[in-house]
Amino acid sequence: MTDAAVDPHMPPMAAPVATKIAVRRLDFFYQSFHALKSVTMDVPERQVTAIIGPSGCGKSTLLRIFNRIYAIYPKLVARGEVLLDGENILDARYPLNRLRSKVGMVFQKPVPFPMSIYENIAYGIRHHERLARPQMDDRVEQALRQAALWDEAKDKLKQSALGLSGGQQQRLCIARAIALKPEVLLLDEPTSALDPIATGRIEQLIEELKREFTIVIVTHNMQQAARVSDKTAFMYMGELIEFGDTEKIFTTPDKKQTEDYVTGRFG
Amino acid sequence: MRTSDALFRTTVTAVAALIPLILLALLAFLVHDSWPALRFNGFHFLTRNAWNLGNQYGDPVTVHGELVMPGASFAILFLIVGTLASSLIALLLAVPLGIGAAVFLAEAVPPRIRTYASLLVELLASVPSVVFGLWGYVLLIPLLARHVYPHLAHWFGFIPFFGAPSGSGYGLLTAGIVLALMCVPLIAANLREAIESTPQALREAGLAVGATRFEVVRKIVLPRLRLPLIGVSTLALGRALGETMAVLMISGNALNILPQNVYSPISTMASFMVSQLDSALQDPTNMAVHSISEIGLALLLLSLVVNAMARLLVPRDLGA
Repeated sequence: MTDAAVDPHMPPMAAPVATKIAVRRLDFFYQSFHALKSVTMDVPERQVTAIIGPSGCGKSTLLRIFNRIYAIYPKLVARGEVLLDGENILDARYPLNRLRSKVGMVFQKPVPFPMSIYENIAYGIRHHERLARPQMDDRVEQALRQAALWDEAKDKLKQSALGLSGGQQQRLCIARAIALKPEVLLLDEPTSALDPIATGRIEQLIEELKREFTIVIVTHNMQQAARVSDKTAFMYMGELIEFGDTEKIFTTPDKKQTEDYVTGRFG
Repeated sequence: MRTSDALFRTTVTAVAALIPLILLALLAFLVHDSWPALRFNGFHFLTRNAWNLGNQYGDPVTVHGELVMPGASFAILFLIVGTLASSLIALLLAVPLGIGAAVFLAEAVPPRIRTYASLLVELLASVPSVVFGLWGYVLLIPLLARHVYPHLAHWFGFIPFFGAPSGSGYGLLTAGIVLALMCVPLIAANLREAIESTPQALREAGLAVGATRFEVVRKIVLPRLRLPLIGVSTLALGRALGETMAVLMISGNALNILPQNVYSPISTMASFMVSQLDSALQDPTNMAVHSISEIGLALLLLSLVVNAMARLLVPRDLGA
């Protein structure tokens, strides 16, 4: 399947599902702590892949490798390969700026920048493209529409983003990420700070966004994983225990540990 | 439970009430002590340059119902100008330096030595002002007077108030520089804490959209400093307005003249109170001492006004 993804002659729809990110024997260390142990998995293109598991299992660590955000902290080491469209992003020669434009990220807490709503979105775009004002306006509007925030925000684009509600702020963060026209969207427990209604809106949004983006979501909430994802990865103590179709993971998992976790016997 | 709550509430309220009460008491004392001067000097106290003890060998005369020495007059416009101008220069120099130092400490210094470096900055904030004054007097003034001010006047003389004569080194700009150096550690220490309190997720979010570390600092960390910056600048301005000893040693202690350029000697309200107290005590009518109290009152009110203005300037929409 990996070969199919890198083969330029193969149209993307020809293979049943192309692989967007191929993780190969990935190890990760926080100094001496071995946080990920030889993880291998294929993230399918334009699908939602959920990573579940108890706290400290390494699911956020894995996600944070996909855009190399971990690299801002010293003494963290990743070994192995993470192939984005066949290119190893762990290679120091892979340009960070290109990676960040291809892989967007949304964090656990809504973290709007201390700027206006408009600037929150334009700020990121300016790091990758020079746009004239009308084009920029279009991009901002498009991103806000895609994130289902346009109707609420269109009359206060010049106002501080800090005045939005938590759920609106998180949708703004999603708009900010997709405004860069990334190929992959990383969501790190995007609804854990939100109420059920705001959570519902975000999940609905994920459903729509997967038509265009490859989505990887880390979540504590197993119902959420079951609702929004096509594939689910169950991790435990740094190891990928089981990875497969979400329906299978939640109904007839192969491993006992997976079954125990999804049925709520531990974790 | 109820009683202990009530007790706690009463205690805290009492302690909290103490602070405004002290301020009110201070104000009341100053008004009381300067009352004869307020009557004698009138409004001209603030608008003229005339500090004159009068003929100390003559017989006291009665003016506006107050007994004063003949020829005595007390007016302090030059002090107000000197105080505001030196504090303003100090702030103009200290704010950018303080921001720079804070950013450097929080972002560029390796974590291993950051604690020590920050400790040094905070220690600098607690150096007694007289030490700053002595340093300015012994080292800075000769240096500035010989090697800096003449060139400054020569090359930047086209800027208003920067032209020759470049003076003796004792004066407005020197006072501003030393005051700035006293304010920088205060500003840097406070802002460093504000920078370090920036949520890590916010920085990561900036990096995740493709910003570099520097861009994150400039566009995401620094704007969050607006509120703390206004607070700490007010604090620093308060310190500069009230600074006594250091200014006394380096300002040139001008009497009854307004500064003609930035090199001119000045006096500030606080330092003038100290330098004039001794001669004021010679005034048998006590009007000179009452007038010094009036300077104190004016200084307190000036500080309050400056503080209030700073608070009004704080934008409410972009909170921290």
